[in-house]
Amino acid sequence: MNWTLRAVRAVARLAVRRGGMLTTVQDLGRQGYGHLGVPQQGAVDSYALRWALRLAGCDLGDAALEITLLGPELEVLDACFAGLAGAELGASLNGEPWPAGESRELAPSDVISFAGPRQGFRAYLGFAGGVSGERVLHSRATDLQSRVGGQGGRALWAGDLLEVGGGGGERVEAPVATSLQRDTVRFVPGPRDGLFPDGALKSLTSGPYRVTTESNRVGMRLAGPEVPGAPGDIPSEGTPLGAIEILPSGQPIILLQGRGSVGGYPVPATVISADIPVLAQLRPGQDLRFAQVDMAAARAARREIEERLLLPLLASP
Amino acid sequence: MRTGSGPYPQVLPAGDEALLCAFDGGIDPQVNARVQAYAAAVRAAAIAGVVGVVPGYHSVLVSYDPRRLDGDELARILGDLGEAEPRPEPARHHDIPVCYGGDYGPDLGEVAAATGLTVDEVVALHAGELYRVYCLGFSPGFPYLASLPPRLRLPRRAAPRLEVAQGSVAIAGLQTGIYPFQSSGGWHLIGRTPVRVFSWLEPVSALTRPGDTVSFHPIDAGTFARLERELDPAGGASGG
Repeated sequence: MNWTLRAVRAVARLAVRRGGMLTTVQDLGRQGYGHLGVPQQGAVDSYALRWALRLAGCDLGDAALEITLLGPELEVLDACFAGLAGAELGASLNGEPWPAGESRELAPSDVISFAGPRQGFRAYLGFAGGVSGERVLHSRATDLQSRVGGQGGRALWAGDLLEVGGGGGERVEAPVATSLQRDTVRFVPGPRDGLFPDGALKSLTSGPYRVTTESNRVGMRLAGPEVPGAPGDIPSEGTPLGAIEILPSGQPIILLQGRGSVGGYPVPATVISADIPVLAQLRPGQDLRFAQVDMAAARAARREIEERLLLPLLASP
Repeated sequence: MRTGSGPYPQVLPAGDEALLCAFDGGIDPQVNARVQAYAAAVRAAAIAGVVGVVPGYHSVLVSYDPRRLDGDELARILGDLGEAEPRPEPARHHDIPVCYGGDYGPDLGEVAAATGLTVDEVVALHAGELYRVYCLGFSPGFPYLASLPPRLRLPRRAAPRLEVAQGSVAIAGLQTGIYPFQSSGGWHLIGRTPVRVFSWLEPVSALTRPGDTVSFHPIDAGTFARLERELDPAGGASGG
């Protein structure tokens, strides 16, 4: 191997030609500051993020780009190395298809673009050495509401210059799908199922729910069978990731990484951690079905996800 | 089986990464004092694998990493923690200057109309009460303050505003609060304070802590402008 030819800058740059619909810098988020009212943030699909980081040879704490539905157009200015995971949003490198679950070496004047969504909602693009950006409370995650973190607390725009760590890597592929594409989402009862009449959770599993367009990184607003007996406002309390809040109308909102650290609607059930990546890939307009499981099943599903993320990467031809 | 009364919370599942430690009662200073003492005890216990401790009005959400800590074991630890009766941090008092009405509080007139009071009576009632900080949330440093005098209690606005100015002082139900940054919001805006309630500058800090007390006093627009210059000479640098 000729190391001089593989030498890359410590910092590499990419020019943002188009920002895409919503492209933000995200990592695993800021945890442990909820008591100050600081939201968690971070990648909505942490499963796909972790694959993108692995494919790019990053550390688990590094940041990557979270790409939503309509991707950006990026021009590579300096040699670097990247991994793509999550949704299939029609990614290509200089016009050649770049499937999710694969890494690529990038050379100056290469162009990364996204032709349009094929499957899923969020893709993740990791770069060796991680994506630079404003680091607040030990995280580069973009907080669009508080306007901090990542690229000045906002989505990428045309004209932005993106800095990544630089460094090379071996071209690899993920051994399994890097996103979980399903329309069934599992929940466990609690914490506030006791505030609802008996059988209220049966409404959640009684039929499909449409993901409405009033959905974002804060939460997914659903439309479907009404959950009866919602007590309306309750004294505000801490909100777990995946909390299924029931509005006074009986319709649910599932809280995601961008949620406020406390909320005032009752939460009769919580989506299991293994299925947050499933939610992350559902588009507005799609339907989901809920299934109720017990805690043992929730834990087993999470273990299975963690085991899958440890599978060895495959060398690419 | 713990019922959530006394110092012992009822430990409820909140997914496979969190437990909600719930106390009986609603918006009540004694209940919230137990909540804050309990949250302090959970933090002091420094349980490996606990990644977040978020007190609310009448509960504490404890988040954990299930790869490092078994949820059942954590539930057992949390169920026994109430006995420690730890002392919370000493409470402080914050007297917050507010410019009421006009562009500073665009809903003041509507609040007066809806409550059948004059604008001056609304201001006098709001500024005449001593509030407790029950918890922080919604956005960084936002203090949930209660209890509003009964005559000022209104439901939230039917349609939330997309843009609420930084420092807006607002009311909803029996609560009042201060918006730390420009954001969306569904409460009634009755005034604005030049005081910054959250700073992103390291070390990141919130002005108020749960258990603190807050009062408000009216100031005029000239005083608002002067205080704003004094408190934030860089002009909004706290916004990050």
